[in-house]
Amino acid sequence: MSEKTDRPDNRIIETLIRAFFSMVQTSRIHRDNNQLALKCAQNFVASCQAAFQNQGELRLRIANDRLYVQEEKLGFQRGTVALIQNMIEYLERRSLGGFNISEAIRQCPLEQVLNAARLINTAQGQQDPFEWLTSELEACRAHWITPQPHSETDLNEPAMELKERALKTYSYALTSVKVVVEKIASHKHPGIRHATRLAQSMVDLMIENESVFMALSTIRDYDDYTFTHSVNVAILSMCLAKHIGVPKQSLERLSLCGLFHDLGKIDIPKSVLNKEGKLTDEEFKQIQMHSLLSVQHIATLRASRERKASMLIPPFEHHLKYDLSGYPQTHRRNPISFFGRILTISDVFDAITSPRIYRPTALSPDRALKFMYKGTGKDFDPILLKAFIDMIGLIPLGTVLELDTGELAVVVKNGKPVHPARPRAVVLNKDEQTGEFYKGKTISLADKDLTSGKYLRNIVGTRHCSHLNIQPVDFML
Amino acid sequence: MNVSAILAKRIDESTQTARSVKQIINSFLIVFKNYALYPENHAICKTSLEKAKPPLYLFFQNNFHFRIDVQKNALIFDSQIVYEGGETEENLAFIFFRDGIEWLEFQRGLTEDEIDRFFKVLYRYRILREEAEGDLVTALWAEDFSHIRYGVKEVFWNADNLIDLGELRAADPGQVAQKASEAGLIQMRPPEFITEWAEAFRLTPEDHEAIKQMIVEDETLDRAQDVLDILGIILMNLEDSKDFEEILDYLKEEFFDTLQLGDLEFTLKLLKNLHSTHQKLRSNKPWTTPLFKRLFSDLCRESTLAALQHVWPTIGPGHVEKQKLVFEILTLLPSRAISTLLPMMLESHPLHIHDLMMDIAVHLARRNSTPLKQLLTDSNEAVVIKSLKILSMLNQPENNTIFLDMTRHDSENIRKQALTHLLACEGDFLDVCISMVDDSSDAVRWLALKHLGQTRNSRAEKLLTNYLENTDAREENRGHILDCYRTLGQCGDDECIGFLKKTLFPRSWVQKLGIGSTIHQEGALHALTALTPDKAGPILSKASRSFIPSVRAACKKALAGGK
Repeated sequence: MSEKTDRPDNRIIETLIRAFFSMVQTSRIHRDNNQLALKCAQNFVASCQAAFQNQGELRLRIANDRLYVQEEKLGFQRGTVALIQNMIEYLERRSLGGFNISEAIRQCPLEQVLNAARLINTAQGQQDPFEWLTSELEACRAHWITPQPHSETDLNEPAMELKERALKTYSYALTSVKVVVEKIASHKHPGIRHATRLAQSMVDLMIENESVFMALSTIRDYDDYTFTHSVNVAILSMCLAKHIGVPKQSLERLSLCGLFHDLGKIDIPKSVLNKEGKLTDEEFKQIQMHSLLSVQHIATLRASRERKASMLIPPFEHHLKYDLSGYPQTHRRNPISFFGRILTISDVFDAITSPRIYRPTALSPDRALKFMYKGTGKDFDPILLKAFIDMIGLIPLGTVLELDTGELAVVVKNGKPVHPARPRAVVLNKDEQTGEFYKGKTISLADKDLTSGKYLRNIVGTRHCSHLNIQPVDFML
Repeated sequence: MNVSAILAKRIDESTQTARSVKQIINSFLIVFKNYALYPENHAICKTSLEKAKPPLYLFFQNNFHFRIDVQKNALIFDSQIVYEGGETEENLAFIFFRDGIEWLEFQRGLTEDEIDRFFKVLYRYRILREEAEGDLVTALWAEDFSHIRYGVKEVFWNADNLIDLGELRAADPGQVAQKASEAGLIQMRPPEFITEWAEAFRLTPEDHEAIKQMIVEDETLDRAQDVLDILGIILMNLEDSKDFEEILDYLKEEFFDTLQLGDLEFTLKLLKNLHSTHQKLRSNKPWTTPLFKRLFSDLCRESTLAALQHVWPTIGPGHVEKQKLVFEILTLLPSRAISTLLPMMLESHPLHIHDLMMDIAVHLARRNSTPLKQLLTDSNEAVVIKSLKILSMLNQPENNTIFLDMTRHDSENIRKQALTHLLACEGDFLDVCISMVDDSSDAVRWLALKHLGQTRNSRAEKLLTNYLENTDAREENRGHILDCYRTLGQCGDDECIGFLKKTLFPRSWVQKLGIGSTIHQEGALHALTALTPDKAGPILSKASRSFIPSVRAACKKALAGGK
């Protein structure tokens, strides 16, 4: 089963990307004859040479938030996640799908390599960066580099397989939380081996394809909210943490915190949890106890003390606000932990965007963000909330859009970094006979009419998916 | 190259590959087997691990990957079974299969460190414990290898017990329709509004820097104190005794672990928090008191305080702060901790550690000496002796009775210690001493006589005189009787002169003629030499002129000794 691969060693690619970044950064501030800039260009050429490996060409591509080298997906390793992510974002900002770099670079003067780097930088902000860059590079005879157009397609994984795996992972997560809850309810002490494996699978899936993973967080269960809520909080928290560069191993811990943060709700009567109308003081006190009870249940899981200790604090804090108001109110005046602040944001976002038995309609995701933003600095860590919005997009995944064309569409990819307010969406087609919606074409709200230069579609309103009784994930994956 | 030459080359390559695969698998199996037999750091394990590396590197000279597929009991390379074994945890294939590993791949570029870590993972998880919090898969994941990949099949769930996502309802359409008619649902918003927001939400370089800082802080944060605080809060809020007990169990483990790690400050904090929580709950939740008592009692157990074995060697003679912390921790425990500490004290420790232990034990016993007293019935003589020592350091007069009782112990050493401690106390112990003058132990008798002879004392004089008057002189008692006389000489005054005279100059003709034992006469002379010369001198002078040869000789000897 041993196979030969064309792809150079990970370390060579890592060096290449670093050299690329040094070069593009230096080219921004220095002239072509600057020694430092020339040195960076020289390093880049050298790292390309090391990466060629008897291949005449080096092919770098991005697709579905992953970086491919010679059509092979680059695995995320500890320490290189941020680097790869930066590369993906750099290319995305320029709406580029990647580059082909040929061996001709060996003969290319360093000044020309620097000039190409400068052009790549400048591509950001052009009307059509790919077209612009291609023609500019052609004009300066930089034949060693060929820009590639942006593509949404995963290069070597059948889309269906990934989607099925994603849904299966969600189902595992849901089942896993439910099993733990049932065991606790029957006064048993569940172990965490299954949950740990699951958390690791979730991290892997997220690293593999963040948009698919995040799409899962739109799943709602009106009838049994707590389980989906726990999984969704885990997903959103992990996505936020990954977005800001939290290391892989800590993401696993955060995932477990999310999955278990509401374990205490099993001790609160359903009549109180689902009560319509105002809660009595006594009932509110009961509700407030749930974060303490969650900690208590986590502390009694069958796991090492260190492991449990690493999961106790964020669930305790998930209803404490940034200014330490909220509950539980104690003598403790320590600032909320980092993961506690992340969990609070995810918890509130999922809670207010989920229809509940006592509140059948909920805020649409975009409106939820607006609502949450009012509490920035008071209820939420202002920087983390910004990062959350930056991650989830101004019009988050799963938001149902009403367009000026009369169409309804579900957001499947946010428009970052170029068009934050103009996401990609899937049009919802309605079966007139059954009244059910089915998946239509995928559109970009950034698309313009070529003759008039006007946008083809504009958002006139947003809705919550519950209004249409759909699960956005059915249209997103 | 013709076809047959190409074929021959391929066959040759294939044979070579098969040979190196066999070597790799064999070396892996040897490492695995050794890990099952010896501790991880054993030289045999290390050697076999080193030997496992070259075959892999040799393989990588011509191949990019070494991939093995896993079946229930077998390892497959290139569709060929390369290893097969039984369904046990001694079978490498089985343990991979058990945890759901479907294939493993080692890639060119694999480092020696990665190989070492890979086998460490195998070593740790070769046996899956029932309460394991992880397995091979979780451990491989945590290692985040750069050149080892693996494929996993989910082994915990099957389609039957999975929640069907298709069954989940996003909302209740009826309810939604009703609410919609009540409130109007569509949230209209012009896109310009959103565009304005885009700027507000853009992360600045300062934000990125702050986030980086948050991550670094979180990665290096010690959460122990926070966890402790939170568990304290939970204890204050719990209403169910079983739940309460579970949290206390957690804290018990925490106590052991932190003590073992030598985090003395934290251990002390933990214990203080427990005491303070106990105090706070004592009145309004009295049901917690027995639970706390049980916890504190558990903390005193050998199984918990065994953690101290890791602490003692870390405390040097100059580590005053550490010594203080250990003292504070252990003296916050119930006095029954002595029962665990005391046997520990019998082990070999540097003097400063032994002294520290003594101070702790004395402190604990001063609070409640019952556990210490209970140790006096221990079958281990050394434990009893140490207990007596601690008891003596309490300086409590009520313990004199205990020492007295212990002077009747079967063990000679215990009697001796008991008497030593008793005599160090304030009080009149002459009767005790006289009763012990007949003890079977030389050392005990010596102690008793020493005490009796400490000062001129008419009661001691009387007691000894009385004792000697009623003691038969037997040759085997010679030394003892002479010692008693010497002691009499040390403590006696006027009253014993008559007795000594009578003993020295007998009325009986039999004795006058020197027939029978002369031990008493010799003893009397010893006593006289120890008495004041003005009273003893004339008698000794008379004795030196005695017509009884044995008296003269004894006198000469005694006087010579007296000089």
